[in-house]
Order: sequence, then C-alpha cells, then structure tokens
Amino acid sequence: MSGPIIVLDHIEKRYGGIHALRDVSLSVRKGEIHALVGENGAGKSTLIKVLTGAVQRDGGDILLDGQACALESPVQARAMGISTIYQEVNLFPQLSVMQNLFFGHEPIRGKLGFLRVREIRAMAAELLHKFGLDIDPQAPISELGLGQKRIIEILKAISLDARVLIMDEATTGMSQAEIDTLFDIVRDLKNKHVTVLYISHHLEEVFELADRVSVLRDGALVQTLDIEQTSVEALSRAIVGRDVEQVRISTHDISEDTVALGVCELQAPKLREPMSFQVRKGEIVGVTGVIGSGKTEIGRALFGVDAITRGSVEIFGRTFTTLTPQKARDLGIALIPEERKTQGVFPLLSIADNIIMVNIARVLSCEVFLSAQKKRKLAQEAIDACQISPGNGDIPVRNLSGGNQQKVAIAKWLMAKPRVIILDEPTRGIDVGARAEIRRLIIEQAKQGVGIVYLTSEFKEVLGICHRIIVLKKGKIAGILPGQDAKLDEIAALALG
Amino acid sequence: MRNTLDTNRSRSSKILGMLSGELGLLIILVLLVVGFSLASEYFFTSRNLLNITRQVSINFIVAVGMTFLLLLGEIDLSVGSTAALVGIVTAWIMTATSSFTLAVLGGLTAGAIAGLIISIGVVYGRVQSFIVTLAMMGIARGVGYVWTHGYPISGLPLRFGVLGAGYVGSIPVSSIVALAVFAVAYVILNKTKHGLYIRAIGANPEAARLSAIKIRRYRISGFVVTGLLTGLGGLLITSRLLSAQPTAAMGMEIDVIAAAILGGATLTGGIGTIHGTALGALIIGVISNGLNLLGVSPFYQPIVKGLIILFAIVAKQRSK
Repeated sequence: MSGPIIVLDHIEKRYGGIHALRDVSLSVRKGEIHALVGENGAGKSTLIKVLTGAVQRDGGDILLDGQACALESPVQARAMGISTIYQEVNLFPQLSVMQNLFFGHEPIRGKLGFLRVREIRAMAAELLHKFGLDIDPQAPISELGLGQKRIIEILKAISLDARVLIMDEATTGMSQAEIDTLFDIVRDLKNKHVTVLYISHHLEEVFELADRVSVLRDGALVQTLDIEQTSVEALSRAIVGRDVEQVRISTHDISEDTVALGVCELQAPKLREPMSFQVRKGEIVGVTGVIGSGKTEIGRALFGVDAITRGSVEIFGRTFTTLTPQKARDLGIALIPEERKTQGVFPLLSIADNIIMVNIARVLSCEVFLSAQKKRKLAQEAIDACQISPGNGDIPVRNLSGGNQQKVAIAKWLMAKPRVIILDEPTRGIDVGARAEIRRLIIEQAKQGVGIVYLTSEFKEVLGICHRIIVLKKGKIAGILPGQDAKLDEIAALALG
Repeated sequence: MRNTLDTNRSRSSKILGMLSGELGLLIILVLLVVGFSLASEYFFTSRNLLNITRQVSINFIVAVGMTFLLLLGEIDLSVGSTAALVGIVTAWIMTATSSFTLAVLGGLTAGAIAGLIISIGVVYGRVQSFIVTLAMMGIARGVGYVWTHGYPISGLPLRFGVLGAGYVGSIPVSSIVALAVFAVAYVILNKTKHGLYIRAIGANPEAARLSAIKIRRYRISGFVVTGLLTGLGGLLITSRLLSAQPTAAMGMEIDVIAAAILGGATLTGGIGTIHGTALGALIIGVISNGLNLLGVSPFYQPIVKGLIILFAIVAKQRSK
C-alpha cells in the first residue's frame, strides 16, 4: 500500500457551544476505500464540510499528499482534487449527460465561447465507455434513474481529475441493483487509484465495499480498523459506545389497556412493507431508524399529510382508510413535524398567533372576530404550560432560541388537547436544558392518558422514555423492543446491521 | 433579565421596521405634499386634495384585493382587463334593463366569477397564478372587444354616474366607497381568523397545512375577493365616464401592484398591510396629480413612478 493521501491532524471545530469535532486525527491511504461511520450528530457531516472547504476548521492541520493545505473554499478543495457526492443529486436535470459531465470546463472555441460540441460528445462517449456504461451522452439527466444519476456525478468528478472522492450517503433511495452497479464503479475507481471516502449508515455496505473503517462518536474519532478485523456487532457497539450507561427514568405504568392508535397493515409512500403496531392510552412508543428508514413517513401518513395507499388506522376504536390533516385534528391527533422552521412554526408571526393557529375556535368572539383578550389568555396558558421563554406572547417566534421555538410548535398542539401526539425529532438541534424540558412535557402528557409516537433517528433519544421501541430499517420494521431494558447496541444492530 | 433584553430588542427593531415601513411611507407622502404645495398654488386646496382621494380610490380598492393575494403569495395580472369587462357587463345590463341595482349586482358578480375562474386554474389546475392571470388578462380584454366590436357603450343615464362622479356634500362618493373598503379589509385582515390564516398560508404554506388549515378555501377566497373588488373598480370607472370602454383600465395592474408593493407587501407572501397599501396608493396618486398640476407631460409620469418604486424597494432592502 502506498502512503497517505489525506492526513487530518488534531482537527478541532466548534459551533457556538457545540464541540463538533474534538481532536480528530485520521489518515486515509492512497487508493483505498475508507468508510466513515457514526450516529447522526457524531461529526461526520462537519468533517466532510471541513474537508470540502465548506466550513473552516478551528484548529489542526490537513495534509494532502504530504502538503499542508488551507482548504478555504469548496472551489479550492475541488481544484486540489477533492470532489464530493451528496445525498441529493446535484446535476442539471434539463441538460444532457454530456453537458453535465463537462459543465464549467467545456472545451470552447474562440473568444466568444462557442462550444466544441463534437469534442464534448466524443469525450463523454469515451468516459462512459471506459466504465462500461450503456448511457446515451445526449440523453437529458431527467430521463435517467437515480442510480445512473449518481454514476454520472461520479464520472463528472473523474472528468475533473478528482483524486479523492467523498461519497455522503450516496445510496439513499437506490434499489439493490442500482447499488450493485454503483459499487462496481467505485471498485473500478480504486483500480484507477482514486481514493474514496465513503460515508454510510448502512454497515452491510461498509463491509461489502470498504478496506478500512473509521468510527466517529460525539465529535471524536473512536478508532480506525481494517475491515477484516471487525464485525457488524463490534462496529455497532463502537458507533453507539459500549460504555454508555443509560440514565434510566423508570417509565410510568400504563393504567388502561385501551388502544389509542392502531396501525393496521399501513402502506404509504416509502414504506417498503405493510406496517402494523399499536399505541395504548398513556403509552410512549419510540420509532427509530436511520435517515430514510421511513419514520417520518409513518408520522405523515398518520396525520393525513401523505396519502395512505393501503391498510387502515384505528383511532379509539374507529377505523379510517383515508385521512386529511383536518380530519386527523378533529379525531384528536397532533403532529409535531420534523422541520421546525418550515413546518412546525410560523417564524414571522408572534408566539400568540402561532398558538392560536390550531385553536382558533377558542379565541373567537361572535364566531368571527379574534378576541385580543382570549388570545392573550390562551397564549399565556401555553407559555406557562410549556415554560416558553421569553414569556411574552407578542414576540415573533423567529426571535426565540431553537428549543423555545420547538416548545411553541408543541404548545400550539397541546392547547388543542390531543389524544394522540406524534412527535418527529422533537429534540433535534436544541440544547440540553430544553431537551430535558421537552421530554418531561412528553412524559406528562402520557401520564394524562395521551398516546405518544416518538419518532427519531437518534437511537439514544428513545431510551429512558419509551415503553416500547420500534426499530425501522429501509422502510420495514426490523424489530420491536421493550423500552425498559432496551440497550443501545441492540437498537444499533437492528437498525444498521 | 433575558426577557427584558429580548423585549427591548423587539421594541427597537419594531421602531426600525416602522421607519423603513409605514412611517417611512408617511414621511415620503408628507414630503411629496409639501413639495407640490410649494411648487403649485393649486395643489394644497381642499378641492384638489379631495380630488386626489377620488382619483386614488379605484386604484386603492383593487390594490386591497391585490394585497390579499400578495399576502397569500399569489398575484393577479388580469385586474385591468377584468375591470374593463365588468364595465361592459354593467353598461350592457344598465341599457338592457335600466335597473341601477341589477347593473351594480351584475357587475360585481361578473368580477367575482372572473376571480373564481382564476382560482380554479390555480388551486385545482395547479398552475401558477402569474400564468393563469396572464392568460386571463388576454382573454378578458378580448371578450370585451368581441362583445362591443371595439366601440364604447355610451349614453348611460345620468343617475348611474352617482357612484363615480357624485358627491356627498363636498366628499366624492367613490372616496367614501374606498374608505368603507379600507375599513372592512382592515378588520378582516387584523381581527378575524380569515386574515390570520391568509397571512399564515402566505408566510409558510407547509406549516399551515400541518396546522390543519384548509388552504384551498383561503386561496380561492383571495382570488374571488380580488375579482369582486376589481368589479367594484370597473363599476366606478364606468360610472364616472357614463360609458364602458373596452380599452379602459389598460395597465391598471402596474399601478395596483406598485401600490401594494410600495406599501410593504412582497411577492413571496406573508407580508403586507392594508394601511401600507393605502399609503402606497396615495403616494402614486399624489405624484400623478402633482405632476399634472405642474404641467409635466403625461409621457414622463410612468418614468417617475417607476423610479420612485425602485427607490422605495431598494431603500427597504437596505434597511434590512
């Protein structure tokens, strides 16, 4: 094996109070496929951003082929031969394959910049042929499948003489056949001495493809291993941390056996298999899985945002095969959505206006006019119940901290007195104090008999709060664990394995 | 401590916002009035000022509808064509039945129907309102031409002129109508569920949907209200001229959209006020009136208006 192409030496990065990368030292060998794994929030994205020049490191050195380099911008990183392929496709769908392949560095003629179309076509055909691909260089990108688009992105990087290719969750949404073809191309790259840094949640992909694997946890590098020296189990444990002692909050007993929410053979977009589970009154059911596992889709289907394609939902004994958000609300379902700023709250509007949005009937006088007095009273009630700070209903929500914005998103629904609450990533990106308060609010609601569905892609979030934990993998239920004594590595093994 | 800090900050940002917003507009308006008063002895007379309110009234009434649409994140380019068509419908009913009431009701209904048709295209056909109303702009104008063969419908009875040209005491009837529209629209937008939901949908449609708001209903209502108010505008124009011109209200959409945008509304939705739109319409009206009094060729007026709008928008961007 030849020497390292990238050396990261004591890299540090902080975002405000969050220590995103702690003293990360890592070396990637020339021509290897090096996998990078870790939970959401472990620091993978930050590390990639540092490597691609999208964010600046606070400390440490980066050596590229033995040369220290600053990596101050994405343009500079690309010029030095570092290309990145992201989870979302970054191609121009209206342009053809060949136009995309050479975009930004097309061979041109004369000062007016006439394109050498014939040359571009020949170069594209040669590149496609080199990798044994049967794709028409003149086909528009929009006519290609997701797998082919990814491959075009890789070829585009190659055409830019990429020496290092970073692939960030590049198989998201692809079929097995597409993944197989992609992997063939990636192995081919290795033969052509391109180094690949492969980021994935799916350990089976890592074992299939990688030579070595590095594990990040809480912003620090845990270890780098040869793939032969490890196993799925050992790697899962390294990802979640075997020494993590869970702080157990003893979950309260469920007093009644009434089913609040019954999901029966549910099928909806992105759910690979019909799904069935039940949530009893006062029960907190955690649903976890990596991004793309289908947890958000379950929430959206149960609230009538996405159409239910098959199966049914039972709410306190009544069965429904179609739902709309209005119907779901009237039945006592609440959804606290994943994206706080675009889905959860109205940032431009005041706290009070946000609160009354789903409780409008309670603040009307003569059934038409908004009563300022009733509005103030309801807003105060919500502020007190959820301890929103600052406690002034007239302040626009965009002026609040992330945790308090999330409390507003929750508070507006709590005021509607729901019987089933679905929360999607309720604690994402908020500080420790707010997280604890939100979890306390959820437990309080459950104790009052509300059925709770707690959706999260961070495994540790379901511990210490749920009665049962449903683990998803690629749109299917991989397993259901009792919440009291579930272990993080068990969850990780089910979700990642 | 943190609370008071945040409150203070929101108060000071509120004042800054007002300076760049309504208060700033008010200052511009006052400066314009002072300037024109100094330049022309005819400007600052009660007769001329009341005249301005009458001239502004039609533009303002339609701009109120436009504000509703802009708040929703939509737009209507067809207001000028629709106003002309409504004028024709009204004049036709008036001559056919000689019933004042029927003519007025018929005109308003025609406007509302035009808005309803647009809303169906936008809400159910899922076409952008810019496209649908661009098409409607051509269609409504064309229907007017075909109907009248391009000739005005004239000779309407004098009593029909009371809406557009009449006075109560010394106050023009159309100014009173505009004031009533202002009051109703202000209450709807600020004091009712309907107004709150319109603002919310424009600001954040996804969050509105996830708040179980029936988005379609409110979007349809925005177009119908605009159609209705455009109908009212068309009525006033026809009433004032005692004649329905198929070429009436050409380019009205520009003045109307300009008034709303000048008043603080944005093309991206969620932002805008009725009093802001009123100030915007007044500023545009004062400029037209003042330039007329100073004897500036009407050819220059669109240039001046365009520059003022550009200036206002750039100033607003800067203050952010």
